Amino acid sequence: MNGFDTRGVSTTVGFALTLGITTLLVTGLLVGIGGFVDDQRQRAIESELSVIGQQIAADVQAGDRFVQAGDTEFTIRRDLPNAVVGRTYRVSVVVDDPGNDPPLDTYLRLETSDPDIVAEIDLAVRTDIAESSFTGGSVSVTYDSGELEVDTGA
Amino acid sequence: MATVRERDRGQLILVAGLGLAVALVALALVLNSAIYTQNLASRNIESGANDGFEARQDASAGLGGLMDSTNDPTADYGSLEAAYQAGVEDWREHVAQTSALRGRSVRVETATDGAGNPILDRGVRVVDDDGTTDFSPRSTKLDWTVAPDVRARNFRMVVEDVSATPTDSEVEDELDDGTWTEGSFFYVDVDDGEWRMAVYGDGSGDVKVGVYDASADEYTVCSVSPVATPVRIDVGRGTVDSVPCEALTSIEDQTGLYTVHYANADKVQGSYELTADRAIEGTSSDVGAFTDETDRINYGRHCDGPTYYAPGNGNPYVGPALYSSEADVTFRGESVSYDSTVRVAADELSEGASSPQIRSITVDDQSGVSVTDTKFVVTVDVADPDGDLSEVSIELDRISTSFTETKTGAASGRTDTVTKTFDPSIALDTDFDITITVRDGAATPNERSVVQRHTSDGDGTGDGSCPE
Repeated sequence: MNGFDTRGVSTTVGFALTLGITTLLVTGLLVGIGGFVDDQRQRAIESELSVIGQQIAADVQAGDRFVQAGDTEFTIRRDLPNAVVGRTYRVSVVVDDPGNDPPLDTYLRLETSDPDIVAEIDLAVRTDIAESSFTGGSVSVTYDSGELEVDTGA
Repeated sequence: MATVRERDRGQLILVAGLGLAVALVALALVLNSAIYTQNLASRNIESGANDGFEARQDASAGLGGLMDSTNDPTADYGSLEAAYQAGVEDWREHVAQTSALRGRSVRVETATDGAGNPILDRGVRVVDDDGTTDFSPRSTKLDWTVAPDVRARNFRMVVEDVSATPTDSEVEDELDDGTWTEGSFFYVDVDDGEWRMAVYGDGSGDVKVGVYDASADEYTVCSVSPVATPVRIDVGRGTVDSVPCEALTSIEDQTGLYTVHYANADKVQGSYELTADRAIEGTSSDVGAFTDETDRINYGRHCDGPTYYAPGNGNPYVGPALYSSEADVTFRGESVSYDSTVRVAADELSEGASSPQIRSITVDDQSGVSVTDTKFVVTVDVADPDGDLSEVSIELDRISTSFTETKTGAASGRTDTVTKTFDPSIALDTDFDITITVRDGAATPNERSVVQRHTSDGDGTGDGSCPE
């Protein structure tokens, strides 16, 4: 107004604003989609672990039926994925853990680290079962010295 | 300047685009895993263990049917065992072929004991196949014992006619008091009042079947009755005319040995059969461990009876039969391998037999010429389905005046033979009761006895006189 030309300033400010807003939007989009992907991955791991757990539980219960029918010489094998959503996992048979709330007598715990996800599947069996822990993959259920044993099926 | 700025803007969009692409690829991978999970979850969760169970059931049912079809009253135990083993062999080949078609391996064979002998338990089949007569034994008796201290299977009857028509409440009143000869209708008693099955008319010519179970203190008329004659009652399967009758299944609760008894046998006409886990001598004679004991209970001793005919001489008769066996089943499937031993005893009334049995008794009368030279050599063949025979005790009792001598011999394994010699200073031509008792090694020993009467007349293994 007083002899300064402000039209160039307007262009610079306009450019800076455009750049800033674009950066903000792009960052927001990337952060948002990253969070969404992460969330989906956790859910996928969780559901896959519980599906695998239920399949192992089905085998353990089949073994329990064999023992209850008086047969002790059997092997039940099942091929399961070595990894869930690219992460290896661990299967543990937990017996009578008092720290669990609500306390379950016997259950299967399947867990991955990074992200830390745990799925627990209750086991309703009448036969005693041995505690064990192994890396996920193929699984076998056998019976030895009065206990059901769940282990890698190698 | 303007060129550089444009390049800056381009970089930002490029970075944004790459970041988005990576994120979408990651999402696609995660979704892929999710789809795989769904796929895994929707697969059949059964591990194939059911196929193992099926193989086991098939073996038990198939070999049970085979055993019953092998049972032939005119064949002795040796032929029965050979015929059964040949049948198992045929069955084994057949099963191996059909299971191979389904990608499995199933092997079935008769189990063996420690010494390599096949596990086959002898029994006796009681048959009255004349449908026009009542249920009385050979020597007339209306309340009589069909099979004492046994486990039974394959117990079925076909009732052609009934002559008693009591009301349900009359039947119930008479069955639940535990006594024998009351009532005017036919019933089967198992284990001295523990379980009773009445068969009577409803007044219109149809037949009712009712069961009294002492453990539940309950009388129940089969809901499938009344039915028109002829009525087929299968106690082992729990059916009346092939329709399940809930009340009949309560016989499964019977434990240990039981006695099967008929009351008012003249109030019903038809045929019946049952297989019991005791043995007889062979096909041509009506004597043996089973019939001796049955005759003793019904008539005091064999010579005052007998209860049964030998096969081919009339009804009812007894014939050798196989009672039970064990089969080894080896199953190899895609994911399950399974070894099992199944019991073969079709239509058994209650759980498996475990009491030892006396297979045969031979009393060699070696009494000499001297007046005090009574001498018996008693040889007993015993068997035990559990394979834990413990001892055989033989007791010699003089009938006239008190004199008792007992000798005990050790027995072991599944089958064994015990021989004992009795040589008391007693005059010739004296009557003795010889009681043979076999026990197994259970904490509370299971045992079974047979009593035979013999005269010390030096006739060797017998001249057919009565008593021998």
